[in-house]
Amino acid sequence: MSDFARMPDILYVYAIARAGHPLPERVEAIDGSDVIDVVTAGDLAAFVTPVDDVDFSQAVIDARAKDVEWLGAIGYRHQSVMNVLMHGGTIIPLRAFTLFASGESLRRHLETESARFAKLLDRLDGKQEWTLRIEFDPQLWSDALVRRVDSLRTLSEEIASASEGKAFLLRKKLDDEKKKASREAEQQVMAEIERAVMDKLACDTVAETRQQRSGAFPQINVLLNRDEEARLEELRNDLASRYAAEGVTLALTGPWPPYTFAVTSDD
Amino acid sequence: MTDADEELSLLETLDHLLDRGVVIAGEAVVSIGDVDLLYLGLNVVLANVDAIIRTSQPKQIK
Repeated sequence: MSDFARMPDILYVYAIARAGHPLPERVEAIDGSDVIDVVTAGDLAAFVTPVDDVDFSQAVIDARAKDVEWLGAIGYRHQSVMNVLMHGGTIIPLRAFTLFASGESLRRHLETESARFAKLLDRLDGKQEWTLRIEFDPQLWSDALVRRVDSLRTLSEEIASASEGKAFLLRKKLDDEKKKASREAEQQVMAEIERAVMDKLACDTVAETRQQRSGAFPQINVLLNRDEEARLEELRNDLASRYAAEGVTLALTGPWPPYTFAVTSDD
Repeated sequence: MTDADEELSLLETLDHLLDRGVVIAGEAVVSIGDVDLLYLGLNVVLANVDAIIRTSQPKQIK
């Protein structure tokens, strides 16, 4: 078979929606083409682009994983399709590189999971995902730890009244203890902020710690009614004022496709 | 929007749409013949993205 005649034979899937959801038009597909199809099964529809199984094989993707230009194009196209789909109504967004072996296997999956997907679509109706990223200024947060943690405060007071030699050793101990206390205190801040969000907005949240994010700043994902964006922003401003002295800042981004909430309690 | 803003916006997008929850680094094995739903791992890249985000200024996307 010539290269020209070789047909793509796997499906890149963007999202699942209710049957009848409008098909995106005039948007660049994941492979740079303009082909976006729909696969339906019962009351559900999945939006897909047929892609070459070699171009989207694990080996090729792994090999290109550090190619920021290529990955950026993938991210841009995936997000562009998602934006258009979201304008058409509620979707279950799938993360990048969700692939099915064939239309038949995708249809089978939709049929098998139909009850779960229907429940998810109901849950996501009228909602958007926002992200509150919690960032820590190293110096201010280090100082704040002493005020937050009793044992560190005690140690700090000991240093103030100790001889020069002893103070030197105690300062080293304080640094070590701060490192140990920082993770726990960070999680405490996260819990405080998550609680404040839930109290004010009565919404679903998913917190991701620094450890869960491979060392990146922790964040709280919020599933919010579409008309409550201003209330979240107001809360962010209140929280920013409350934590500013501790070197904690909050970056609010969104609305995102509700990737974090595209799961059920059964998952 | 400046180039830096655009870059950060793209990185924020990648941070959201690349999967962290399903794939454990290095353990995703794909068998197109046998597995219907395939998640491909890009955790190495994610680590890089996160590192860049950490050194950038926060930005609100609306």
